[in-house]
Amino acid sequence: MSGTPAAPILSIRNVTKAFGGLRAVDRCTLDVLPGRITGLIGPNGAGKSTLFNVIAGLYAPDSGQVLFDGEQVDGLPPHRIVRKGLVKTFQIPRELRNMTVLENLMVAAPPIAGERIIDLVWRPWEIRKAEAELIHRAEGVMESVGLRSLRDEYAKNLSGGQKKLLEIARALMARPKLLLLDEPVAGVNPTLAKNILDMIEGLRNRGVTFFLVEHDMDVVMKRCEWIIVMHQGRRLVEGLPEEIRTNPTVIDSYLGG
Amino acid sequence: MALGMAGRTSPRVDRASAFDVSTTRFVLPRWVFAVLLVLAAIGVLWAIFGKPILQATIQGLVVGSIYVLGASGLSLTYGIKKFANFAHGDMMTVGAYAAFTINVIVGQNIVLGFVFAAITVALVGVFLELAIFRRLETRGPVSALIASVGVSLVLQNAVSAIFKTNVLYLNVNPPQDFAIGATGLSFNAVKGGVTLAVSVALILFLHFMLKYTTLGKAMRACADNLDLARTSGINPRNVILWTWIISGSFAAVAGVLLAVIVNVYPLLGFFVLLFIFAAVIIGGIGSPYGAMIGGLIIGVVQKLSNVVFGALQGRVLEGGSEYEPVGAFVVMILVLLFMPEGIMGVRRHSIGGRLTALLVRHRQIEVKEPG
Amino acid sequence: MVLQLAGFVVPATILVILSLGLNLQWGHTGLFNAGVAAFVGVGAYSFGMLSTGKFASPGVGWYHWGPDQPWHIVYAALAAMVLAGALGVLIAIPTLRLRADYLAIATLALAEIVRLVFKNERHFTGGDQNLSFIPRPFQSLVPSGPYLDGVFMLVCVAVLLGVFLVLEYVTRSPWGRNLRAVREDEEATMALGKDAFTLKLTSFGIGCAIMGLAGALLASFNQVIVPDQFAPAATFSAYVVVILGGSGNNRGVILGGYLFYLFSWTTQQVKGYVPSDVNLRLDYLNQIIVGVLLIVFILFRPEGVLPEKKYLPAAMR
Repeated sequence: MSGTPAAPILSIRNVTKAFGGLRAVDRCTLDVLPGRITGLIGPNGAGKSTLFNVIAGLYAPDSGQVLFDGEQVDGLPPHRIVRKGLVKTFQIPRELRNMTVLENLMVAAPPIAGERIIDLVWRPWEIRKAEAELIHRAEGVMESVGLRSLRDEYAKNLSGGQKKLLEIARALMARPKLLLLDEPVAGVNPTLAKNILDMIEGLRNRGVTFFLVEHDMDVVMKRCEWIIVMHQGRRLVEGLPEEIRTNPTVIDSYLGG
Repeated sequence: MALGMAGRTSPRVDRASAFDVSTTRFVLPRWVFAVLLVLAAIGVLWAIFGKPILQATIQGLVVGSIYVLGASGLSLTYGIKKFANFAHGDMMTVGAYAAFTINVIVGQNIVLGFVFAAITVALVGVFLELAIFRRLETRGPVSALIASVGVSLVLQNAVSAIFKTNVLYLNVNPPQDFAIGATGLSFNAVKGGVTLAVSVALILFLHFMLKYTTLGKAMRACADNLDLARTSGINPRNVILWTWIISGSFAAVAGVLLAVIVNVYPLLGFFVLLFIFAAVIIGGIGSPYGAMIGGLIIGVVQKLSNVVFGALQGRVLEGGSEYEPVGAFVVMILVLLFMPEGIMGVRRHSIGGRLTALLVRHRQIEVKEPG
Repeated sequence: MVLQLAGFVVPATILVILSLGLNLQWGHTGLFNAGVAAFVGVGAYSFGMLSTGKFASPGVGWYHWGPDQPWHIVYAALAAMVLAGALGVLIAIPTLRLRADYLAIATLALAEIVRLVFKNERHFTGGDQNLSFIPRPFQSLVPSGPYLDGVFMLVCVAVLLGVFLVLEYVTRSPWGRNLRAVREDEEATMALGKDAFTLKLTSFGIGCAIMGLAGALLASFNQVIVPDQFAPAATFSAYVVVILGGSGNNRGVILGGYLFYLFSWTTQQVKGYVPSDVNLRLDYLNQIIVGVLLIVFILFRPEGVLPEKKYLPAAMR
């Protein structure tokens, strides 16, 4: 990594999110620097998924701020956050079941002509062209994840691993600057996992920042460049993989909880 | 590299407050608040409209107790099967016609009519579960809802085909209304008294059953979390069947009680279906206790609306007591918008947060469980 | 002969048109609108009042508007669509965030309130008096009777064609694709960057406008509006048609609609040939069969009589 300090692409400032009195995220503050793969780990119940949901706009924080690329995004609806380049995948893939793989990808892309009613009335000829370009791009993404052959298959007919790939492909269609991956290789066979992780590294090299939650310590230690540990709703420690691996506080948090 | 604070031994749990105001120490159960609200409304209306309001309150409690029976049954099936049974009203109708058969055609005592009705509708419920609703468990709640609409059509028209659509009269001779002392209010021993007595008895039975018997606890467990219940050794299949049996019996009794007041005709139950839904929603789906509160509230609101709209007739609106349902519907819609979990349900946002949610259009009211 | 044919085709087509509107809301977007009858009613009343120029007044019933002429039929029909759509949007804004079964109950309750208002507010809608002498298209050019009915039949079918083509265009567009995504998984669709609320709102509004148009056609055909004709039964029928036809499939809805109406119409025809006590029961039998069909289709053939074709984007065909 270069020595020049970069401004964080994502800043969590004192964010709290409680459900009925139980604080899932408790005055959490952390930063994610751009251009690298950051891992988020912590024992069950540490608040990782909740934090991701807050960042992505699915929940509004009870207090605190979320800043993306310098802009405040907490309180914005999820679809506006996505359009700014902050994209999150779901831990358990949520494919659009009765739509084809191609359609799934087309929905995930940034808006094109024809998505607003006005376009349908005023500019119908632009729509055909925009759709053709979109399909072309989608096929490219499908190719890179290896789903090209399933283009016209209904998403509900895909296998578990293929659904995971679809989840990632959809995230890529959205032209993300920061990609929040919630357990990208959980339950996936080792070969596929390696492909996915290689793909992630390839994208990182092209400028996409990754922030991922993963329980597989092997994966975390080998693939993440920086690790943040969460415990009981807030950041516990952060650092390089080797430092985290041997940190007694971290080990304690997993054992004690 | 910054070190975060070492973790505490247990996460901080804030005391749940009815109004989500963190400085409040005093916890007011929502149902008490609701009852107080209704009493306050009655008080205000009494000051404006006088005695008819009190009479309406009595009527409201009577009709409300029928709604309580209907709503408890509906709440039980809604809670455990996770869908709105649109045929529930027609199950009440079937109960009324079953009682008519025994009471008038066969000529037996009305009490036997109640029993026969309960058995009949319980069997109908079991049949529906086995033939239809069991198969729709894996599909969303709307599929079962639509199927129940189909069932509603079948039941209504079957009853019309067999008995024709004339209004039929049960062989019950209720005494005249009697005046309550010097208040000038009237009350009917049978239409009012028996209805209240039967309803109270059945509700107490339900309460004890749910709280103290094995079946009752199993029913609560299944409504709460089906998978967890299954792993605890409960057989959900049987619990579900028993739920239909109880729900059906209650619907039947409610239907007969209603028929005593308004007589027997094919749309008997269907007309009260929306009110019963309102009661279930206000009380909280899946909570029979909520249904009890909800039923009484809806009944009272309905009869109060009758008086209020009647008085408004000719001044603001032309229709008078025709608008009787409007009060209850408005309350239901407000609850759906601001407190969809109902009085006894588990709250997810504070009321203020809900208001904001309504105005800021992108927020969902149903938020998924925390991961 | 033409009269007979028109007597079948016109009501059937009107049913199909309003079912197409429902199909947009329910079949394509997953919105359970149980208040269909109310929107048809609003369309009918608006059309009736504007095209006859009659506006009710308390205690008097109907009287003609002042110096203004009654509106031209086409403008009245457009106004009917706009008003029905506007009411739809108004109702939708607070209720669309509710999940499907709650939305069903809420729209049912609201439709019931609207129906009560229609029925009772004489100074507004004429209340329990009929609004009559509603014009037919081309009635100045063609004499009443079979010719006018035949013309109306053609107008109806033309409207259906128009609505169908517009809906097909719209649902195969990117907008339509986003609607289907919302139907499949609303939260996931939001996480993919689509504004689900606006999508639902516009879909609901357009669907209601189509229902309003159907109401206008109904008013024009009958040339009279009887206050109580907008009972929930219309809502029922529309759902049966949509379920039979296959939710989301416009062609299927058209086929399902005509088949369903054929079934009802046949029942009515058979009545004339059958002894009178069986006669009454025939209606009930009809409804029982409809109920059973609904159950059977939901259980075993939820995709309807015609399967939903994979939506090829326009650029692909």
